[in-house]
Amino acid sequence: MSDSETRSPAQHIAEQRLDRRTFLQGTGAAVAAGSIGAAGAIVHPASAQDATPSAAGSPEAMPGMDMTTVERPAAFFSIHEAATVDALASRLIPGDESDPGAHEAGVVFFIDRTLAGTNLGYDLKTYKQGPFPVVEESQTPVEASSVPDSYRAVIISADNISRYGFQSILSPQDMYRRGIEFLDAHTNANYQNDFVDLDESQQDEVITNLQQDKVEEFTGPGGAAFFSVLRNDVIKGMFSDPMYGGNIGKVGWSLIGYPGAQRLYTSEDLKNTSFSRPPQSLAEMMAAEGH
Amino acid sequence: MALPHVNVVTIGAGWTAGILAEQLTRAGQTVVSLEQGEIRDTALNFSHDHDELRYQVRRDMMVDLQQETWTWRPSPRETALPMRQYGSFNPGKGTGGAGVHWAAQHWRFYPSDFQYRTHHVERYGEDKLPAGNRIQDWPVTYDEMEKYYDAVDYDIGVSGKAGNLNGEQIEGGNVFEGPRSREYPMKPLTTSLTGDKFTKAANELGYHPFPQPAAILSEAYKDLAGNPRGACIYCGFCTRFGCEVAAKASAIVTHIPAAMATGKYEIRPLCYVYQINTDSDGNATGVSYIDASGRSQTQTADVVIVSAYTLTNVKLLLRSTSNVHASGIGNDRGLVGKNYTYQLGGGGSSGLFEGERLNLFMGNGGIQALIHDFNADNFDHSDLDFIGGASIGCGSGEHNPISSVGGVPTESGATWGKEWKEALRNNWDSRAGIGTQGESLPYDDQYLDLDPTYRDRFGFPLLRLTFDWHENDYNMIRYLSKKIRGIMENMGAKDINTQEELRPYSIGPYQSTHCTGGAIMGSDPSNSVTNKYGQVWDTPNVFVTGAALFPQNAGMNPTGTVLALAYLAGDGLVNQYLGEPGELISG
Repeated sequence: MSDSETRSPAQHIAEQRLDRRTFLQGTGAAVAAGSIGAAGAIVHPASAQDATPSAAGSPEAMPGMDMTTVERPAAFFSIHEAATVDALASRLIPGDESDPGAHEAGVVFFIDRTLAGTNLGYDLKTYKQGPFPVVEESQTPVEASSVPDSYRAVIISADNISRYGFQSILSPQDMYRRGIEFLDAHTNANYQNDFVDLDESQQDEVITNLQQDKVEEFTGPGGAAFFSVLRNDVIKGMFSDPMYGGNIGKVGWSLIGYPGAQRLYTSEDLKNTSFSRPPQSLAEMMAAEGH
Repeated sequence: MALPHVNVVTIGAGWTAGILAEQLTRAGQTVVSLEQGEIRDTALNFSHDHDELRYQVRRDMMVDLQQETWTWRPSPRETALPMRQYGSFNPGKGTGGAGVHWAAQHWRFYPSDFQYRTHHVERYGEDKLPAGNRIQDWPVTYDEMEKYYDAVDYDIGVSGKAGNLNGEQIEGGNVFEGPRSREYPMKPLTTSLTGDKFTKAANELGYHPFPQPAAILSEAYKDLAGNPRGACIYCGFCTRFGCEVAAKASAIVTHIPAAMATGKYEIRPLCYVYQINTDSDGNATGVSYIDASGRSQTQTADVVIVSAYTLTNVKLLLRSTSNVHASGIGNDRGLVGKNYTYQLGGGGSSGLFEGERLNLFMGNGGIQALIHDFNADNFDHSDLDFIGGASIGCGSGEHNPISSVGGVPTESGATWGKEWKEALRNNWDSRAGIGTQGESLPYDDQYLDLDPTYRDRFGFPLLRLTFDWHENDYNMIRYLSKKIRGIMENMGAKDINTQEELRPYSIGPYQSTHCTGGAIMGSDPSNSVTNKYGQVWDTPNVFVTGAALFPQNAGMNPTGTVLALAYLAGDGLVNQYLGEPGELISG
């Protein structure tokens, strides 16, 4: 991505998809991905397209066509949003063809598919009824409801709010859509470029500031909250079963030496200090058992 | 159209409902269980569940929080907010309940746990008890419970090694435990690399390590239903997962099949009970629920067993108001919701065994090694600024990546980027942890009631938890964290991280599903909601089961005691109540 600053977002994602296809073919991961597909597991639409040579009529076969109007290569993200999330993920778990990271694992496809779900992108069970908290700097605790109006705000002291866990009124879809907008507003104000077009050290600087909640453009979600959601999703996309769209070629599992879905281990395995087994997906485990 | 009357209706079809259904149907009663979740089957549902994202992260087997959640505030002066996504605890749904996705760590409480107040006052004096406490004795003793504990061990199949057989202490088992009348039905589970390191280090320090007793089969076993069940295959998908070989005990493989075999048991799935109904005399007539198609239904019964999760049981008692029980069933003296307790954690250490693979992704919820040298009153508290203690165990298995990579530390503190990636590559399976499960005591400012603001999907109020840690907890963790660090150091770990100070309670991170108390048992109606059988003092044809009955919680998992209490209740129901309905004699 050394020349990323010279490319438009549309070019960027087109090349990224080509990169990914090249990667899949080059590492043998294409074989694994193909076999999962053949076993009937769901393959990400983008992944399926990547695995198929460009057919006549597909945007890749017609360079120069405006891809944003012809096709959304993603299920939820715009092309630019997908490229931005891919760039962010690539800094969280960097990699290259010889040592895959979040980009090579297809983490952006995992996140995109999760967000495209029918439930505003919520992948965790979530209670969504109001009222939502408003943080009050005052240390004075506020007495519990005398007006049980479920739309009024509940005031919580700033000292305590972090103890209540997830309390965002924003759906994951909103969180990403707004977060990416804030991110570009920030990088354009400070680096005169979108995030995807910054060099890696600039990107790292921005992410560090996000994590430390120092990016004032983030007015909801906050920068640290956005970072936290992103990091959790990158971890999920890197280390979940490949059937969810990420961890392509089980590269996340290979990185840490996790064998994935195994039916069993013996007592001897538990005590074996040099235990090593190639990772296996759930679909592969079931197929191997003849289900 | 009215549903046919039954003898007994249970709320939920989890562990205790299954146990009582088995005992009551065998005694000729017709029993219906109303279960808010689905029917589960080992082969159909669990053979393809090796999927961390779905089960461990997205909590497939837990209650749908869109339907119902719980609100929490740290003190009566603060405002409660709902637990919007899973955090502190994981109540289950579906047949077998949380007892399907449990870790199956299986304990008996100590004799001193049952006589907590008496024991501590006699040994240390009244002043040693923390200010504002509501500590009280249970209305049963360990000696009385022993036959029920024993029956549970053999009916469901528990693996372990006795540390006290009829008063004789046995090295290698838990030498502090109350006397057992028999050895465990089968040997302990296999040990792990980290468990072995812990055991060696603890022995060298003069402690008394022993293997975790677990309701997971270490060898083939035939349980009460007569079904042969295979031994554990250590697959690593255990806690938060269903067991695909039924080695982990749950009601769906033990008591529910036995109850079904009588032909007198029905489980009605996808039924959300919202009220216990009473007649003009205040006796229960049955329950009302919303069925799978969204219709409100009423099931009449002679006896109502309130056998859902702790928090659901308390909520239903509070919600079931009538002219006779103006503030809910069991609540004529305002005691429902009191004595809410939890499971203290914290004080743990993690350490790096550089270059070693520990195989932490294998195993099950019960293969750890532990010490109880600092649990209960097994150590002298005369010069300490707290009472009680905790189990100290070395977690040894089912370490799945999504839930564990996030915490892998780096030298610089980086939590992303190249350095973090290298730490994942090199250390993810090389860091072991030692943790605690501590006692939780009841206080006046710790209770459950109905939330004034937040509602469930059907418009009924949610249950509100008012809870925080107290000084006794902070002091205990400060003391234990040093002992734990000492063990980790003796294990030879590098880069040891220790939580030296307990942090104030937060409902955000997962801690324990051991929510206890709120409908406690006691010696008389002035100090409790039920008698020792779980029979509600003010509504004697209502029985409460589960951990809501605990006056305070011990330093270990509650399920073993929950199951034994269900056996005690079954004994009272079958051998006394059915012959002569009315208040059971506690003696």
